[in-house]
Amino acid sequence: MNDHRHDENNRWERNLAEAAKGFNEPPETPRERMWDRIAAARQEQHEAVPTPAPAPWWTRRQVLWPAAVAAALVIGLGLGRLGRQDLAAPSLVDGSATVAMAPTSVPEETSQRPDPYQLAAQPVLARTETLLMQVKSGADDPGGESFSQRAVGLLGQTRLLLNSPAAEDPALKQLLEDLEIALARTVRVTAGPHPVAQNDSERQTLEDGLVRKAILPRLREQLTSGPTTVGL
Amino acid sequence: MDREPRTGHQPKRTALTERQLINRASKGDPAAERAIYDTHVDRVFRMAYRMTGDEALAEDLTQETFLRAFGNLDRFRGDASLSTWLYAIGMRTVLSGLRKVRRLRERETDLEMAPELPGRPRRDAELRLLLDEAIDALPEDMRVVFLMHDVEGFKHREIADGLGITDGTSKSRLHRARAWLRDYLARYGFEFTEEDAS
Repeated sequence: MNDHRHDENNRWERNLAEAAKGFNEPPETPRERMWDRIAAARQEQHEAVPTPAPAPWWTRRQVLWPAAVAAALVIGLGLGRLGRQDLAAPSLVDGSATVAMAPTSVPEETSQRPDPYQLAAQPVLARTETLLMQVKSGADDPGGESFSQRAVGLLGQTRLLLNSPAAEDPALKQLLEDLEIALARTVRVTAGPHPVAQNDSERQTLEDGLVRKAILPRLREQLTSGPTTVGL
Repeated sequence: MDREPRTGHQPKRTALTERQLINRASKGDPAAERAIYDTHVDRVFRMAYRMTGDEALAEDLTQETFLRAFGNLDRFRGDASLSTWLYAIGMRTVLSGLRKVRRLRERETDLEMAPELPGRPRRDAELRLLLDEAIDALPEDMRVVFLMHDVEGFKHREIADGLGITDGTSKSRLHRARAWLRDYLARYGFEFTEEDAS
């Protein structure tokens, strides 16, 4: 009895599926027409990533890396000195504080020393957040350095960071990659004589990308959780 | 409506493995992108058309699916097959496109106006229109599973990946969708016979 009912059900479902094939029956795939548009859009995407203008001499790789290493050393030394001062300070004020702080703070201070490359990423991230917020809110392009110029500059710095050990942190690397795309789109949106209002669809793509990838919240999270430059 | 012949551009069948194709496409190799497109475009387009019933919209959503996929290929880890990953992008793109467009089709379902299908009895024409109406009226979560599984032949695993649900949920939605359609048709006194389906 059950078998009979089961068979009937199966037959009914087969018939339903067969009859439903007439619902929104697709025409033949217009593959060439769609491919032409996809290929054109891909071409546009490749071209959208602008080639930065020739970099000034002080940003060239041969100069930049030694400078970055030197800066890292300075930062490291500075942190070391600050750490020692912090340890020494309480003992001058209150002898009991020395006893309480000394054993715990020494290892903590050395283990939490920020990675200089991540430290170097912070101001780039902060400036990118400011720029994206301004562009997103439709703020007027300020005089002086335009949105577009700032985006190109930040795009170059983002790429440098992506090529540096800062990108060994997977979360930061992912964020930098997303920022690279967002900044390239920002360049497109803001380029031209009437930048911000110029290209609605580009703007929409930029804004969709910012929302879809939660770029601004991730930027803020990185800025609040990452190493701080305060006090250096 | 122009129709390009399906044989117009056959995918190149070379000795490249899927992984090699992905690697090349992720570096922007147009030939590799085209090979991936040729392999999967039919299924993505059919899915988009089934869900939207609108050719222009289905084309847009198909294009968007491939653009998203190509733009994110470097993040494809290979945990699932490329087809599963690609169809998941397709389903999400189609569903989000549908929600954005809010293009709910308003069918003229006046049965008196419905054209007789040549060579078929009137009952058949009515049943088909009624079935279209019933599928249109299905709640979206059930409709997508029904169309993808029963009509387009997707597996529950693929549907689950695309919709971000479990296999079990996909099966349960399909079961509810069939029961819902059965009730809907029964209200109008229709039952399927082998002849209806043929």
